[in-house]
Amino acid sequence: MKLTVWTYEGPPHVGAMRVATGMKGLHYVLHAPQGDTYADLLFTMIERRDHRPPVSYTTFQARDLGSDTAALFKTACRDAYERFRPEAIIVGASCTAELIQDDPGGLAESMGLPVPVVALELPSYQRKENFGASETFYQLVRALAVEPVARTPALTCNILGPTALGFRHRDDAAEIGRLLAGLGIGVNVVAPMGARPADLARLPAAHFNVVLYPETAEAAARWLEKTHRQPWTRTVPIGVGATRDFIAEVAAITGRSLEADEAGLRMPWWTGSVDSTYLTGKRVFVFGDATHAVAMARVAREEMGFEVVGLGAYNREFARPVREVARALGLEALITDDYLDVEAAITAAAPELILGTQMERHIGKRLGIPCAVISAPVHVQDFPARCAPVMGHEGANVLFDTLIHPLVMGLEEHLLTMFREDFEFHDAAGPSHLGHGQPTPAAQTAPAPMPEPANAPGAPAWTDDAERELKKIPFFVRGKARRNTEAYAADRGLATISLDTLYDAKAHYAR
Amino acid sequence: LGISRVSFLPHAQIDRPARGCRPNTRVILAQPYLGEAAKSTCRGARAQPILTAPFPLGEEGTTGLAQGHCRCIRRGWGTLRRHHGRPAGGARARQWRRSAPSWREGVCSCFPIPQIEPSIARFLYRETGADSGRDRLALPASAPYGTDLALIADGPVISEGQDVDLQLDRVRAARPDLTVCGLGLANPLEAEGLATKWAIELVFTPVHGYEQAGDLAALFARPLERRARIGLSGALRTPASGGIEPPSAAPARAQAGHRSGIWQGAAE
Repeated sequence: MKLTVWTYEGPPHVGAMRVATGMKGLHYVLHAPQGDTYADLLFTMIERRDHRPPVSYTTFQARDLGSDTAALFKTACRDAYERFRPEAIIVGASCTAELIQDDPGGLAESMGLPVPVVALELPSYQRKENFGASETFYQLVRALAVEPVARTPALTCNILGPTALGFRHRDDAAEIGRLLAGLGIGVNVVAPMGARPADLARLPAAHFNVVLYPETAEAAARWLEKTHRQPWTRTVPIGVGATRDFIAEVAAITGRSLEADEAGLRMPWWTGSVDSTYLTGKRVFVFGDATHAVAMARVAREEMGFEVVGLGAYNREFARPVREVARALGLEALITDDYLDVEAAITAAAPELILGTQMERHIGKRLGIPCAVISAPVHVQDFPARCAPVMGHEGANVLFDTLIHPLVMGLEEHLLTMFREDFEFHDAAGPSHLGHGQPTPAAQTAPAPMPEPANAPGAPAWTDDAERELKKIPFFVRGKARRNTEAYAADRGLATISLDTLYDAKAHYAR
Repeated sequence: LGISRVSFLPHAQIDRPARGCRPNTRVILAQPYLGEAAKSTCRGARAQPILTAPFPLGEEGTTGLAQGHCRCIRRGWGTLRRHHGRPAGGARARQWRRSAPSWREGVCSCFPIPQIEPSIARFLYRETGADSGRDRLALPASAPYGTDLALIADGPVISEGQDVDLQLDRVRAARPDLTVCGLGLANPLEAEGLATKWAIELVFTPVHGYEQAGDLAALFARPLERRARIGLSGALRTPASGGIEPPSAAPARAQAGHRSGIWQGAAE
């Protein structure tokens, strides 16, 4: 554990809260010191939840540590049951409470509460939020979906994975439900989001499971496969290609021939139409949770025509698929939960677009690089009022819009190049649809986007007109053009770099 | 070339008289389509300038223009060649030609782009190895075309006239690798599965001379490159499993190549 200003994932009890808050009729009794109640805010403020998360904190203080904190926990547990009358309870400890070793599970069990009590062992100092969500959901399913249930007469599946505070989980679950309905497949239970404890007992009635977010649902799906022989889908349907693969996988699982109606799928034509030509080869850096990063790398490259120049994820447990895809792209995956490492990697790669989390949005702002948010953690603006999935057909449409929104449009890009010294279309003008004050690469002053260090002693000096000409080169290759020209001048023993030197160097490196 | 005093005509302010057009002034046209402009602008010059040269697109066009200028001022081409050195942009254009990914049939069609279709056709035909059909709007019989047309006399089909439907018929029959056309036709043709290049980019992008030859070639390569990039491989399929277990556990992986790419279905 280390101190940091910002983190991609919270501690594991926040993951447990995401499951509890997503579900109905479940209550979470959390042995936690005063101050840990801040976590409510993540849900009520960022996700705009209109209810407090179903969590009771024991909120012990420093002075309680000398007395009976275990009694404090039992009181909180009993009060929570009396007040909320939940259908099931999960109990656990937050990071600090873990240290006092009160064993909330054992305590709650000894109380003889008339509802199922599931104890969570979440190692706060080794694991993080996604593990907490996955483990909580897994333990709930293990405890509540024990009895075999006859399969539904009609073909159904469960949709597993969506939680509170997830990136577009609400809309993904709805979109995939629609997609499956169009294929003649019903949805038995969506869980955790929207499910009651009793619904978890009905999980085994489905013919198979659809895992939307392996980070939160893969462990539960594996247990259901082993215990109730329910196959589960591996393909995460983000993007056109992955959605088609997903349908093929469902067809293989169900033994049915499935053909989706693609009438509402606009993305292939949007990316094929001529204004999209300007997207070709745009250099993008992708970072997020493993599932979204890997899916977005495919969308970026195969569906948008971008060039992926960086790929990484912050959740180490799922690093393997990220490494595999990065290798296929000829890249080395960046697996880190330190945003400073990510910032350094983005600075070095000098992409034209970042696809990332809330933190990469900040990094992009600092570096003057446009960013689209494609993965949790996200801020309040990424919980939209409208339905905006990133999965299925509508999700692919949404992704196209999301990915081009931060960019300058095709014809406008030409105008900016052609009239780059004009008052309206100058190099620093940026996308016109984003309005004034939008940070743009050239407009950035502090800190400089791509540090262009002053000349080293003895290095050739730039004439004013050459320096001006250099500024006309797009910012993301400007640093390279400067270095190349200086190397070219140094090789030839030139003391100054004139306009001619700049063009000679360009011609030299073009050969 | 040893010319010390050079003025560019007309003056940036159109109503100002051209400077320096005295009886002993020589006038060289900046490009070969300026015959009419030269007549009205260069009154008083020693001789009406005539430039027989291709438009300076690509290596051949640029060299041709320089040779034309040499003829105008009666200097040897060798002098100019020594001055310019090895044309680097031309080298890039040739390089692109070798690696052009989808120039399969080598067929390219061109819709009217005022006055420069013959030059584009010459560049594509003689410098990038493409064949090119051309359709131009009816132009005055005297309109000067430089020598671009003569250079492609043996090559592409040239269709004159301004009937867009007839030209569309010809394009659909030829199914060219690339169609150079305006924005009004680009998306409808793309929807029929025909790659297009917006003609307007040729106006907005600096494409002249040796330096820009590679950029000019890249303009035509870009739509083809995009088609090659998109939806091809499936190599970036989500690996079958998360980090917990090896991918072999997947029972029902879709076969690679089940769909070759997102274009399937989209073009129909």
